[in-house]
Amino acid sequence: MKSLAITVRFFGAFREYGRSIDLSLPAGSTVRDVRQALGDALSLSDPALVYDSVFSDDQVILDDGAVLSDNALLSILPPVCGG
Amino acid sequence: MSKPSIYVRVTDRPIEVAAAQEFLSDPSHGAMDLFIGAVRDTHQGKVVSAMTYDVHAPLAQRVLEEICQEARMRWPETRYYVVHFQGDLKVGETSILIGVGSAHRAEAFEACRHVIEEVKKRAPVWKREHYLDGLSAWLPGHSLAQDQRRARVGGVVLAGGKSSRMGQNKALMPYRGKPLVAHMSDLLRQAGCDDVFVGGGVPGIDSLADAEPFCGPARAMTDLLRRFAGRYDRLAFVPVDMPLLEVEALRCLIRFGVGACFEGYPLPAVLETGEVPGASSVRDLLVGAGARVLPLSPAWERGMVNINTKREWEALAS
Repeated sequence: MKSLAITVRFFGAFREYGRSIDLSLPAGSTVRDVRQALGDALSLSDPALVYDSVFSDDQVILDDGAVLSDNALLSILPPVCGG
Repeated sequence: MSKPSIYVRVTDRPIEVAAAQEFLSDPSHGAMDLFIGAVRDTHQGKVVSAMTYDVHAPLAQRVLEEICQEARMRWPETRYYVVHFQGDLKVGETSILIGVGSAHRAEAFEACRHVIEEVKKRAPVWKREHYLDGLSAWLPGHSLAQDQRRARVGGVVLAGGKSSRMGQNKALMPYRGKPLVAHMSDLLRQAGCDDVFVGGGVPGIDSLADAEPFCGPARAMTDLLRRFAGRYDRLAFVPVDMPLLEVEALRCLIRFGVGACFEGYPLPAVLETGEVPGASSVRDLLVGAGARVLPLSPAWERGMVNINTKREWEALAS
């Protein structure tokens, strides 16, 4: 079965884990699957953080059900506090 | 040529007040409100020495622009200058500058306050505080995931009309290689609807038949608002025959947070689900449901056209 190469860039508290992570997921995977895979791959000190975060591309925040394409470049956005 | 009304930047250079004043300077404006955010020296009893601002710059640029555009819908004729810092700052240095120019002071104050509150909730920015004792910590913030979960918006393409002036079902006429109804469904999805439905029985298309066919859109909308209560917070309605509708206009209505429509146009409209007073027209329904009426950006006017006749359709296709 073909797999997808997904890169997730880190921001905010996720910076503790580096700049980004490369994941390999089955074809047809959704943003929800990335969330699960990321939670499994990182030993988060606060496991809820991944569920309080959203994923985006450079344009919009992605719905959890959005289906991913190969070589997708995503960002994980933890809770924001600008200003 | 008129000056642009919005200037938004993410920068790693010192933020200058003079640049905001220059941009906002306008002979028709009698008020300019400037908000300057700076790094504070204490936080929850700890002595702060510096702050790191981590920013998703391309997305932040879009979000800041959206916030200003929304504010401009709410306070027409206002102008905005927003710059957010990215990188390391010492105590006292400027992290954000928001400038709003307007004819009178009330709008400038209100709009400026609105923009900073929205920035704090929506802009993809994270702060890491550095303390005098050498430790540092990422600050907690507002979860965009909770926002996403809170508001569920269903999209509805209203396609229950008779198409009598067109002489054939408008919903099925081909537009850019697909039936018009599919094009309108795509617009709703692109604008952020969680799910999209077609209202009115359209042959060959998975659609929700009206409880009583050909009773007009107000009746169909009232029924759907009741039917989808609990499943969606709001429904976004578009007519099937408005192919040039701008996605950004639709997104503006959806993001507004409560029921809303544009001044002079009953559709598109976004309404909160649940019981609404019976109405004989969409305009009456919007009033009864308490929809906010937003001014329409001139850039979106061209798209607010219904295609009702063969001649209009041919003009569109040419």
